[in-house]
Amino acid sequence: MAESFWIGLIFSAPILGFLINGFNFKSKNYKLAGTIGTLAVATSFVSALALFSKLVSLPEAERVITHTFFQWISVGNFNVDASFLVDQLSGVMILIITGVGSLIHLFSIGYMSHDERPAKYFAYLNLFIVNMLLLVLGENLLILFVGWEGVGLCSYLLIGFWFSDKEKAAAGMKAFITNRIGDAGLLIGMFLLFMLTGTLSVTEILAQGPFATEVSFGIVSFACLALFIGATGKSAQIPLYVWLPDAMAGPTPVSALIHAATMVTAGVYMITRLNPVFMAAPITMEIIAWIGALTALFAASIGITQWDIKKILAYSTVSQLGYMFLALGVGSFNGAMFHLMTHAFFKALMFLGSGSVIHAMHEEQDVRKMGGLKKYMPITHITFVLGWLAIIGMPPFAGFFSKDEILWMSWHSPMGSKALWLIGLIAAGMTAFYMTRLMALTFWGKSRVPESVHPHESPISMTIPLIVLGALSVVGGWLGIPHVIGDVLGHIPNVLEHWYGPKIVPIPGLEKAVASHEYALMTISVLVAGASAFTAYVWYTKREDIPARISEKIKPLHSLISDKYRVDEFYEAKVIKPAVEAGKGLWAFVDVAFIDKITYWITSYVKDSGGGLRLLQNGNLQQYAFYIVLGLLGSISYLILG
Amino acid sequence: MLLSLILFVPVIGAALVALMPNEKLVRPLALFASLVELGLALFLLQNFDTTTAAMQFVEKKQWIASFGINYFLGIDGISLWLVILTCFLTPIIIVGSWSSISERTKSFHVSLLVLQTAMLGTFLSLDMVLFYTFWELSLVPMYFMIGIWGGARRIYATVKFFIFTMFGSVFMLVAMISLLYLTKQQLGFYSASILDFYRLEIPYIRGAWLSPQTLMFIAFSLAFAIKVPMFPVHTWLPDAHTEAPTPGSVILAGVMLKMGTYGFMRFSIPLFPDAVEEWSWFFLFIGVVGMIYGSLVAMVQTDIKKLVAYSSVAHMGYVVLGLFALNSYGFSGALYQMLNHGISTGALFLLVGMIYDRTHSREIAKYGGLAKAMPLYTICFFIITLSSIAVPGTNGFIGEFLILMGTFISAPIFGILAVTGVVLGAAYMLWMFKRVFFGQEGELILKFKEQGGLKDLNLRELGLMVVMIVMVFWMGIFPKHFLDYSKESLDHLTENYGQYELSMKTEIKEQMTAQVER
Repeated sequence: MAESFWIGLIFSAPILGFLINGFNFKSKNYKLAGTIGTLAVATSFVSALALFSKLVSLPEAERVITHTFFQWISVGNFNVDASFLVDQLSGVMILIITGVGSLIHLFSIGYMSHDERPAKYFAYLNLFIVNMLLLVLGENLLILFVGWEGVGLCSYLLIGFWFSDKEKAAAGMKAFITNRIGDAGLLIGMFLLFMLTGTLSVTEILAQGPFATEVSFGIVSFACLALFIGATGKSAQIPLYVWLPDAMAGPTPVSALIHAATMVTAGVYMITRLNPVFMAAPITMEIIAWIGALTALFAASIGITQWDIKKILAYSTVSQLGYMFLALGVGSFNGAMFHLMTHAFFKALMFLGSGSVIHAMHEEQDVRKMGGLKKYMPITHITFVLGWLAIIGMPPFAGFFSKDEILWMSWHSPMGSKALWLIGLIAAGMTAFYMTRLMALTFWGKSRVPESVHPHESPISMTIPLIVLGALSVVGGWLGIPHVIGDVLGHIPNVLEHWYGPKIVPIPGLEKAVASHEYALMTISVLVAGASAFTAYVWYTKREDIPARISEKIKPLHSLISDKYRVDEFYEAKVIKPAVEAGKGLWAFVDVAFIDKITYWITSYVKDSGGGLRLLQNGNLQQYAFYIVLGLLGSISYLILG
Repeated sequence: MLLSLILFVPVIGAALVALMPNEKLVRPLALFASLVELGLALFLLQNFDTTTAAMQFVEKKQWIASFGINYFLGIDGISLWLVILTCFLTPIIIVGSWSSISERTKSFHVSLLVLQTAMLGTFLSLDMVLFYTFWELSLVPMYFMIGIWGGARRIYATVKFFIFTMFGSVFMLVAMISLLYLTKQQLGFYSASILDFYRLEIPYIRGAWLSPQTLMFIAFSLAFAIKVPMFPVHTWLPDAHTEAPTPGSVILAGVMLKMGTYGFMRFSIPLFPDAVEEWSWFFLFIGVVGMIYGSLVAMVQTDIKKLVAYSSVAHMGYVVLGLFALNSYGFSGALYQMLNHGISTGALFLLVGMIYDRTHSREIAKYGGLAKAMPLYTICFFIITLSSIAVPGTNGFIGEFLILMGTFISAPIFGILAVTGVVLGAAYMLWMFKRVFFGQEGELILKFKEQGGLKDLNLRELGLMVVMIVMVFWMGIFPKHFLDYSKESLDHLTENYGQYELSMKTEIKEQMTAQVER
């Protein structure tokens, strides 16, 4: 089958699913709607597999499949084609999106079985898949932007899915508008790239490389910084991360798909796409690394203090995304893409697991009302354990390899530093702590479940996705085994590094790794994670008085952190309120009190004044006009003719 | 002949409507006339030559020979889409007001059709005097529309609307007359032909406030700026919109505001290029201010219709920005945005009218939870909102993106400021949407629930919205279908606005010379 067929199919299947369920939006038949939705994405997954196998069969240097459907915009010398590009980067992305997407669609059937509008839900979910595919497959940055805003739109719709709740509707709005701030940055970045290269086609931009490294903060650095601002919006980095925790108002499978596995990684993907350009902007790269590291630390610290199971996972996502940006910033694009993939597996798993828990607990999300769920939900528990081991970075689980690569590169890369590594390490310790805390409070220890609630294991359509993702959370990391380990175990290659190799600019001046250093760092991070996981386990299963006493002792700090550093309040007071006040003020003082007053004053002056000229002034507007004409005519004629 | 036909079919329709004895047949007859007109416009589109920037379908008849004033019509890629837009919106308006205008239906439809001719006249005229006649003529039916079928403060609104617009027009008239003198001086004969005006060398002294070109540029631009309307002469618009009946608002936002931006494209920029280059920064500045100002003020409105009106100020700010970026992205984006605004704001006013017909309230605070009560209406409103906030895939995105890019390339600082408009636009629309459609059921919805609930869109209303929504996506996904018609004209304007000339398509020229020889 031709490539164009598969590219056509990968889009048309979810479009069709969207249209069928969309036109049928009032239907309450969740099985039918869910089956249509799931089949549509599964079809996309098959297409993605077909495209990927085509890609693998091509010789290494020619792994590119493009197809142009039509010319979209053509103005002056600015041309944008509706053209799609499957290569090493987007090939992996479409597998993740449609693969994890299919599992989450399947999970949703059970999860949404009691909902009033399941068809609408699946329509939105399919539409999201379409836009996400546009984002990763777009050959042109403007097509990427279409998907970029499209996924934001779907996110808005799905966060506010239960819109009768004012807070949920507000969370959706917040997500959209915060993302728009980022999008404004992305637009500026695109304009600058267009001014630099005369095109927005990714292939053509990269063909103009290699780009000269900017020593000072020049136009390339500025362009990359603007693009990065776009990424901070979509990928929830400081200072625009605030929408993501609120986004948990949406149905939990949505959090798994959009706000963990796929959409939020768009910024990481976009920067990796343009990595040769970013490598020419070392100052911007340093900013990216620091923002990433600080976000990782900052969000992890909030995660420790939260009680809502989804909020903990949300801050965890922000923190893990921070790691990806840390990796990008130190030039380890491979590490970022690797962590993107493993994170998609284990975080989607844990979100779905939390969905399974919430479903069983009758929509309860407070971990203080859980505990001991291990007994009732064995499959959810076991799979959650796999995700937990992966995220805290225990070998040989997936997260270990990807996080280790990031920490190692932030130490080893000439673009990194010991300070960045240390921040990453501390954040890793915090990660192990808050995740173990979550496990202990939810699944282990004594049951604090209210008597009215009878938790039960979820149906098979919900546990199958958990099992598959659980397996991926174990083996997913084996695609990127570092050389120091691979060599010892008998020449196991680093598959991913090799795969992405042709698409990624090597870090200039990168020295050869010293195996003993790498081992040492690896050991340190495992020990730190292990120790803090053990502490959290003891504290939250046996000695719950200790964390309580500690938080009492450092009360001001603790409440600052558990109030999320009051960033939302700061934005509310310093950005939103002033804007609204400005609007009110402008309206009252400029429009009504000033401009209208002046007009009124002029007209009444004309009407009232000059009794001597009464004959001229009969209140007839046309006549005034005539006099004005005469006057102006005279003066202008004088100027022109005289 | 085709252009004359297009120009006068609405007036003939109006005459027939006026003579129609049976009140019941007034609407169908008016609709029929507007559909014939739309058919003619589409026929024009089909026969339009996209390979030339020259004026096409030119018609010229002597009118006042001693001053070189002619009945002179023609169309190019710039005016083409505005003519189509006018002819597209008129039947929409007639169907849209099918049940909302119940008094004096006959005079209403006569006004509407006369207004259509007046607006088409401004877009089709190649003679300055003819243009001015139609420009002023368009005020009259609009005056009646707001004054007779408007809301409680309609008299205030009409007077304000009239004074503002007249004030600007007067200056244009003066500049126009001086241009007429200039033709005599430089070409040796009087001519009111715009094509002859383009050939004038209008005296210009760089940096001098009072050089003739600058003065005339200011005079013309003031008229257009008020029409657009640009900050700070925009205050007539929110009042006119809130008081106007739905169809009046649709035509006002949909077409009449474009007469101003069209004026910039047809007159200000090509006629006074030196002054334009000197002053473009000022218009970019005012454009950006208008965008941000309009958005901020829209955000705090309590009346949905007033919010949409202020959003118009913001959207038209984009158009001005695009025009004065003076590059092909800006010009194309501006033209596209004019059409987009016609579709999306027109549709928004229709939607606001539909809910007003049901509840007789436009107070945002009284709504809430409308999404549950009227799902179809909500979907339509949402899609149009997307178009208004320029989400990719909709028409709004193409226009906004091109304008922003054009602005950024010619003046990065203004470009960066303008991009903030993207955020503000989403903010005021989505906030309004949240308060009206989401959340718990508000006061009004509960009141109607007791009376059996609000009725969702009927077939007529849904049909209208489907047409608009199809346009939203068609223009968003296949902009080339539209921009290709204007490409030649826009490129010609971009490359030559400093030394602008427009020819007439050859076969007609030959015909005319043949006539003259005879």
